[in-house]
Amino acid sequence: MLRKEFNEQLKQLLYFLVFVTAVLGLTKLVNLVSGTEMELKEIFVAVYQVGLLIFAMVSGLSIFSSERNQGGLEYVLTLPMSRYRLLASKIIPRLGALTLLYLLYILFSGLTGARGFSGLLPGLPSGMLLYAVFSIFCLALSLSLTHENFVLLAMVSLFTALIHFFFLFGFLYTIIENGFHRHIYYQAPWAPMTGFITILLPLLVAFFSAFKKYDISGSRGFNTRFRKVFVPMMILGFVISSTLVYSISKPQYQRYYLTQDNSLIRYNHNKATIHAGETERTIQNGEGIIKFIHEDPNYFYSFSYMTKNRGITRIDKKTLQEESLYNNPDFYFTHSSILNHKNKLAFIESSSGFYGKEYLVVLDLKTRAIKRISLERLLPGGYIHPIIFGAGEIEGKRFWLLQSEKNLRYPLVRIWENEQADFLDLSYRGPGYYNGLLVSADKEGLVISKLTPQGMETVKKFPGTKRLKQPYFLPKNLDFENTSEIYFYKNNHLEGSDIEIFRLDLESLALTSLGKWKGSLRHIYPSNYYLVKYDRASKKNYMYTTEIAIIKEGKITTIKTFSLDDKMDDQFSLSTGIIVKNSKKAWTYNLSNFQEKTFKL
Amino acid sequence: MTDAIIKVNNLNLDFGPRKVLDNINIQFEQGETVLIAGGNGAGKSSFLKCLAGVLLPKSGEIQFSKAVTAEKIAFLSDKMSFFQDFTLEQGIEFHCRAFGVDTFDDVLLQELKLPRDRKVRELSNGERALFQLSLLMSQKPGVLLVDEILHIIDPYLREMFLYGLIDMIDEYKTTVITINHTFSDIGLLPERLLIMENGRFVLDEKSEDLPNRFKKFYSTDRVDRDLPIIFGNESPLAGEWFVYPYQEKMAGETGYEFLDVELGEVVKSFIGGYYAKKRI
Repeated sequence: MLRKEFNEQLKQLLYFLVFVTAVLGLTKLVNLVSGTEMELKEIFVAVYQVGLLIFAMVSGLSIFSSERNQGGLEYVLTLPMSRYRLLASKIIPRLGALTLLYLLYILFSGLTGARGFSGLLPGLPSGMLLYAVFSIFCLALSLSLTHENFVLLAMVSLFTALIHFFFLFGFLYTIIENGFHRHIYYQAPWAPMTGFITILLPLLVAFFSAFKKYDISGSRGFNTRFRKVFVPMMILGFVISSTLVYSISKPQYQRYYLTQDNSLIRYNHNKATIHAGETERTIQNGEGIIKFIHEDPNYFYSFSYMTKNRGITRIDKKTLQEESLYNNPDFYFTHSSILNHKNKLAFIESSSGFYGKEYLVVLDLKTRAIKRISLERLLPGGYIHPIIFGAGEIEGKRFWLLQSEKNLRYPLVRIWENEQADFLDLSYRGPGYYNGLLVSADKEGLVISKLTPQGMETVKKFPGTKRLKQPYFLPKNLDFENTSEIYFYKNNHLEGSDIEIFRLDLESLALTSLGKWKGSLRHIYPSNYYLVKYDRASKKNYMYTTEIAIIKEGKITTIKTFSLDDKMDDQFSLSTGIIVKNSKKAWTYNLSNFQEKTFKL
Repeated sequence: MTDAIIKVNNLNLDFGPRKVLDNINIQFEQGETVLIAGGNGAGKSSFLKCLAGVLLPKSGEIQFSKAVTAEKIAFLSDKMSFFQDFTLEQGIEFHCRAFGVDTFDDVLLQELKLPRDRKVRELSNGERALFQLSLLMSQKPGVLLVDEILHIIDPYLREMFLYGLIDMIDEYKTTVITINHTFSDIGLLPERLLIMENGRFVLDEKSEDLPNRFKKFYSTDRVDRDLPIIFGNESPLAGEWFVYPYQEKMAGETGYEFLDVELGEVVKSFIGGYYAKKRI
C-alpha cells in the first residue's frame, strides 16, 4: 500500500513541477511577445508558493478520493492492516512529497533570492510558508472524510484555513487586549499557538479519533464521531489558548527602554510614556508600532512600521516633543537595521508589491536631506535580508557596509554615497566593522581585513575560530573610530548556559579567551562591554540580574551585585541598563553612568 | 460438531437512525457453504461487509478462529471493488504483496486468455469477477465472502466462477458465505441457508433439513390460520401457501397435501412474506 501511495505521490509531484514549469514557460512567452520584463524567477517562486499551498490542500483532501473514484475503497478496507496503519500509508507519502517540494522551494529561493509572495509580506518569519503548507494539509486531511463533495470540501477547507490564520495572527490576543488590531503579530510572536490550539489541534484529534472506526458507511457516521470530539476540544482549545495568550501577553505588553541619561520610556504598539525626572509625557502614534532605536545627547529616535506613519520620529530629551523626520507610507517595512554614523541615520526599507524592492535610505539629521539608494542593482543577484552592519569614511568619502544572505552565506557589499558599490567578500558568519577593520569569516575561522579605496586586504586570519559568534548586529551607532578592543562570545545566550568570552585587540590583532561566563555579553557604544549574570526568581517566574561586571582591556571586574526584591514583579535587562518593576514603581540601574533611579508608574 | 471458524456475538450496526443489523448471534464452521438471502435492505450485504471488516459494527464482536488471520479472509464485493486503473499485472503484484501471497495461480486468467497488461477497468463484469476470484484464491482463504455478483455474469463465466469456488472449498476447506438471489446455478451448492429480515436471521437451516422443514400446499379455500404460514398467494383459482416450520402431524390434522419446495421458492416466500407484513 505504501509503495502504491509513494508511486502515486511521485506522479502528482511530477505533474506539479510540470505545471509550475509550464507557467514559467508561459511567462517567458508573454515576455517575448509583449516585450514586458516580468522577472521569471519571481514568477516561478510566486506560482510555486501558491501551487504548493493548493497541492497541500488537494493532497490532504484526496486521501481516499482515488479509491472512491475507482471504486476500490471496499477492497482497501479489506487489506490486512489496521485503520491507523492504512492511514499512515496514506499520510507518509503525502508528507514526503510536500517536504520534497518545500525543500525544492527552499533550494530555488535560496539560490536565486527570489521571494515571490513573501516579498509582499516581508515581516513574516521565514518558516511561515512551511507552517502554512503543513497546516493546510492537516486542515484538509481533517476535513477530507466529512463530506463526499470535493468542491464543497475545498471551500470549507479554505474557509477553515482562513479562520485558522486569523487566529494565527493573534486575533484572539487583540480582542483581549485592544479590540481589533492588525499589527498585533509583531507584538505577539507566540500568537500562532491560538490558531493551533483552538482549530488545528481539535480538528486533527477529532479526525484521528473518528478514523478509528472509518468504513464505507459514508460521512454521516464519521461526522457524528468527529463532532463528539471536535466540539469539546475546540471549546477547551479556545479556553486554553485564551488563558495562555492572556497570561503570556499581559506582562509583555508594556515594553521598556532606559535612555543613557536616565529617562524611562514605557511603550507599546501605539503609545509611549516618557518619564524624565519629574516630567512625564505620553505620545500617541495611532496604530503604529513604536520601537526605540537610537539616542544621542539631545534626542532619542523611534521608528514605526506597518502603519500609516511608517518612518522615523525624533523626541527632544528636554521638551519631550516629537518631530517626524521621515515618513514614507508607500513603503511596507523598515528593517530594524537602522544605524547612525556621524549624524546620518541609515536604514533599509522595502517596497510593498510583488518584488519587494529594497532601498538604503540615508537621512541627514542636520539638514533633513534624504537619499534613497536602490539596492536592486548594487547587491549581488539573489540576495535576501540586507542589513547595514557598518559605516565609515575613506579619503573623505562615506560608505555603508551591507550584509545580505545568499546560500547560507553573507555577501558583504560596500555602498558609497555616490551610489557605487563594491563587492567585498562572501563571509561564512555575520560580519562586523570596527575602527577601519572588517571582521568576517572564511571556512576556517575569523578573518580581519583592512578596507582600501579599491576593496579590502586581508590583515590576519584566525584558523580554528569558525565557531565564534561575532557581533552580528552592532548596536546603536557606528562611530567605532576610537575603539581599541572588541569582545566576542561562543555558545548561546540561553538561560543557564555558559558562554566563552573572547577579546580581539584591534591594535595588536591578538585574540584571547577570557574564560567562561554564565550569562550574557552586553555592549554599549562606543566601547563599554559588560557581562551580566542571571538567576531565575522561582516564585515569580522571571529572570533577574544577579551581577554586572565590566570588561576592560581583558579584565573582568564586578561592579554591582543584585539580590531578588520580593516586592518587584518583573525585570528587563536591556543593553542600556536594568529595569526592575512592579505595577506601581520601577527601579533602574543605568549601565552608561551606573546611576540608580526610582520611577513612579 | 466442529469448532466454529467465525463466531458473531451481539452484532449491531446502525446507519444513522436506521438499525441495519439487530443483535445478531451466529456461528460458522470450517468448510461450510452458506447462502444468505433476503429482501432488499434486509442487512445481508452489511453483515457480509462487517465480516470482511469493510463496515465496523456499532457494538458486538466477530471472532475468527486463530487459523483465520486477516490475510486469510477474502471478500468479493457486489461492486467488485478494486483499483480500476491498475493493469492485471499491477493488481496481482499489489494483492500478493498486501496479503503476503508467494505464488499466484493464473489458471483462470489463462482460461480466459486475459493479457496481464490489460487494465482492470477494461474487463467485462464476468472477467473481473474471475480475475478477482483468482486473486482471492491465491490467498488460500479460510473464509470467502461473496456478495451478490453471480447475476451479472454470463452463464458460461458463471459456471467457471462456480467451479473455481468449488475447487477452493475442496482444496483449502474454505468457509464460503455468499449472498445470491439467482438460485438456479447455486441450488446444489449451499449446505446452509440463512434468510435475513430487518437485520435479523429469520431462517437458519441446513440444506439437507430444509425439505422436511419447509413445505407448501395449494388451496383455494379459506386456510387454517393456526398453521405457521410464511407467505400465501390467495388466489381463487390456485392459492399457494408456504409453511415453516413444517411438522408431519400437520398433514393429518389439516388434510392438505404438503409438497417439497425448491430453494428459490423458500427464499421467495420469505421475502414475499416480509413485504406482505409491511403492507399490513
